[in-house]
Amino acid sequence: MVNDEMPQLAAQLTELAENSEPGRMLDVERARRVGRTRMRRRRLAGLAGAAAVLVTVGLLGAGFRDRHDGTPVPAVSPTVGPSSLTMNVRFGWVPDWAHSGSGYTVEKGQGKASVQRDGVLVEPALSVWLTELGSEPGAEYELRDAPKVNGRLAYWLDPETITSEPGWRPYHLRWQVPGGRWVQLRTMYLPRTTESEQELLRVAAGVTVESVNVPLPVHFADALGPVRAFDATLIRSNSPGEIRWRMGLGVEVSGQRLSVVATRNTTPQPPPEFRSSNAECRTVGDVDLCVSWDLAMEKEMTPDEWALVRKVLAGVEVVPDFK
Amino acid sequence: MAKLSRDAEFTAFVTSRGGWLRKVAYLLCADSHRADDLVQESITKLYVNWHRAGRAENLDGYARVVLVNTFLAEQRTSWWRRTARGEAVVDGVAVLGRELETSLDLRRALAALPSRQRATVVLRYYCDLTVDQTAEAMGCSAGNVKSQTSRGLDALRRTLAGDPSSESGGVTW
Repeated sequence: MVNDEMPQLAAQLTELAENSEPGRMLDVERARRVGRTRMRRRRLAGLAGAAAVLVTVGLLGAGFRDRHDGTPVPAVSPTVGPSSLTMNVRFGWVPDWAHSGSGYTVEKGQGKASVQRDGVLVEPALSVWLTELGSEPGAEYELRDAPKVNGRLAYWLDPETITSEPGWRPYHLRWQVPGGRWVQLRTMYLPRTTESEQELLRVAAGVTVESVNVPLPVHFADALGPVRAFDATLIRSNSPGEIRWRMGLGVEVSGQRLSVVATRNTTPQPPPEFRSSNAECRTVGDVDLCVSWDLAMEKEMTPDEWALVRKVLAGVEVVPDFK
Repeated sequence: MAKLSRDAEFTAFVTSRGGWLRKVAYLLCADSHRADDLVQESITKLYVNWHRAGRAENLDGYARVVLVNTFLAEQRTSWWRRTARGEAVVDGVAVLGRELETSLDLRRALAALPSRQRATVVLRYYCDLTVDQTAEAMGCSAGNVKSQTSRGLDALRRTLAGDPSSESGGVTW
């Protein structure tokens, strides 16, 4: 067996797993409830597809008029291009602890704005997004009435019903905006107290739904031909750590999906020791630039595929003095 | 009656095997909270596909495939945050200070691996799967598993050997 080949590694992995911090109790009832909802949606999907076309046509015919109060539904959809992204929501006021970094992500057609705390660049402390048209606070959450946000309906949403550390689990605030759509605010790493809920309500009141153009720190040389971007993240750090900003951009070039990661360091850094095995990197000033095969698709690469990665890497231009 | 039977079977399985799934998830995620979320999402998918799971020869194996695929799919999102600089993941977790210190070296080394390398190492050396079984679980070729495993082990050795805080004093495997 395999473990006979690597008995010490197997033993160390077992020890690590056995010594892991106890997890929260699995919520079987929630799994069944959410599962049943998904099954129901799946069954209805075929019927709903046809109906959705009719509804969409109806909405278009009404000039995107909202069914609640007649205010136009925000029509901006988040998009990403090779050199910029367009968001449809942005933060206003945020607490002092949320000033150490900020970011925007456009992924699978959804845009999220985020802020970081304590220089932690792993997971945003707060993120906010405009939900899809027709999306309602759903069965996947425990709903609790929240004070109104800017005079409109709002709910607290708890994704987890049982947790060993309730103070540290993510939770959400969802509120309606003019036009009937909902904006959702997600927290991470925030102890849940009355004070923090009040802070989140204040954050929510300052969120605006509007078109926001966000330039990205790279351009692509014309020699590469058409470059189509399909998702992007840009994170800026205000903390005195080693990273000033980091960009991840998924692009399609010559029919192949590639990932472009650019990081601006505050001080010269050695080349990252851990990176995708399918990556080629170079340094441009104080910016580390890596192009790889789509990081979700690690694979043995052919010489032609390596050539494409190198060609794209050579064709990426970093915007000078990007802040 | 059929629904009750389905729910009862599902509950019995999760009750008996949830702890094991959580351990696998912890090694994949190198983070307790992510592991909790991963297992919760995986058992939800398992419930949705319970009719298929019930037909599987090896229910544990089916659940493990769901878990691994859910983990790998989750890596697709936010990959830049997780992989652009592997140590940032570890630092971020460490800032929270909510993890046990024991086995920290190996956890850090695992966390620094790209997701597919980590999955192959966990499946082969914790779950004790063969190359072919690992390939089946991950939906890739045996050759791919071999190369991912080799790279993963090399990276683990480099990290553990070069980590001055390592208490193990070197790597012997």
